[in-house]
Amino acid sequence: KEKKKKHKMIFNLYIFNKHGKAIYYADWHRKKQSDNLAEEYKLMFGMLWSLKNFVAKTSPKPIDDKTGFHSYKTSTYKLHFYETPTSVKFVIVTDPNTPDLRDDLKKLHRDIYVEYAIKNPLYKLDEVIRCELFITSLHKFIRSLPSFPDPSLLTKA
Amino acid sequence: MSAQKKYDRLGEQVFSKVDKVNAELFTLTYGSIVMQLIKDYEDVNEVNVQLEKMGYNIGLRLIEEFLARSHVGRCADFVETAEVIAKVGMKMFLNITGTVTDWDSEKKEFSLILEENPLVEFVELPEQYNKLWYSNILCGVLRGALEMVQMKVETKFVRCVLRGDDSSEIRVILKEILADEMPPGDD
Repeated sequence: KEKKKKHKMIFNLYIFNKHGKAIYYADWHRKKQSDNLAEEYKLMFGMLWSLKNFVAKTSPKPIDDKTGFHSYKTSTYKLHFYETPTSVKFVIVTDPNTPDLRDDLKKLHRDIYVEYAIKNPLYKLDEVIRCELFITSLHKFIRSLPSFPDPSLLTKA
Repeated sequence: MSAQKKYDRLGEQVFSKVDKVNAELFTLTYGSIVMQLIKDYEDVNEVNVQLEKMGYNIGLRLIEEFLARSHVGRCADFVETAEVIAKVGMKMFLNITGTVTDWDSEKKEFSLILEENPLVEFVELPEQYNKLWYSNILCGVLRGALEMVQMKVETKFVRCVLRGDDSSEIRVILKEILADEMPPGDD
C-alpha cells in the first residue's frame, strides 16, 4: 500500500522593518495570488501586531511580547514568526505539517539579512531590499530547507 | 555577581566565534580616518561631531550582528543593558571589557570605563588637538545601537587616556524608552 506523501510546501516569506514596511517578500507555489500585495502587507503586519499583544495579554505566565508568539496553524497553512529585539519581523508561511521554522528564521536573520543587507553599505536601512546577493542567498537557503518541496513531486499546474 | 560572570563568559564565547582583523590595521585605519576628518573640518569640535555621527550610523547596523551572534535577548533593565555592553558588546567588537560604575540613584545613568582601547594604541594627542575626543566614534556606536533596541541615550566621553587620564570613561544617559511603532491606521 502506498503511503500518502505528506505535502511539503513553502508558500511565502515576508520581512517587515520596525515601521511596518515590508522590506522583502517572496513567494513560491502560491495558488491563490493576492490581488493587492500592499494591502496584504498591511493586513499581515496589523494582524501580527494584534496577535503578539493578544498572546502576551492572555498568557497564563508573563511573557515577552516580542518573543512570545511563535506560530499559528490552520487547515491549509502554518505561519511561523520571528522578531528580533530591533523589531525586524520574519514571517514564513508553509504547509500545516511543517515543523517550527523559528530557528531557520533566526538563521535567515543572522546569515543572510545581517551579512548581505545590513553589511551592504549600498543598502539603505528600512528600504526594500534589492541586493542581488541577498536575494540569491535567500532563495538558495529557502530551497535547501527540508520543507521545501522536491520539484519532481510537484504536479504540473 | 552572577550576571557579571554570565556575561563575561558569553563575551569570551562570542569573541572566539567571530572573524578577527589585525589590531594594528584597525588602529591605523581609524587613525587615518581621524586625521582626514581633522584635515577636512579643521575645527576639532566639528570633528567630534562627525566622529559621533559616523559611529551612530555604524551602531544602527552593528546591533543586528551583535544580536545575531550573541543571542542576547531583551535585558531586564538598564543595569543589565550596561553589563551586556561592557562584557559582551565591547568584547565582541574590540576584544576589551569595560567596567560599569557610577550609577545615579534612578539607575538611568552610568559610566563605562575602558582600561584599554585598541583605537588609541600608539596615539599621542598634540596640544592643539586637546579638545578632540579621539575615540568619539564609540559614543556614536553606542547611541545608534541602543536606539535600534528602543533606548534613546546620550553618550559622551568624560575622560580619555590621550588627555592624560589613567583610563577612558564614557558617560551613558538614558533619555527615553521608545515605544514600538503601531501599525498605520486604515486610510
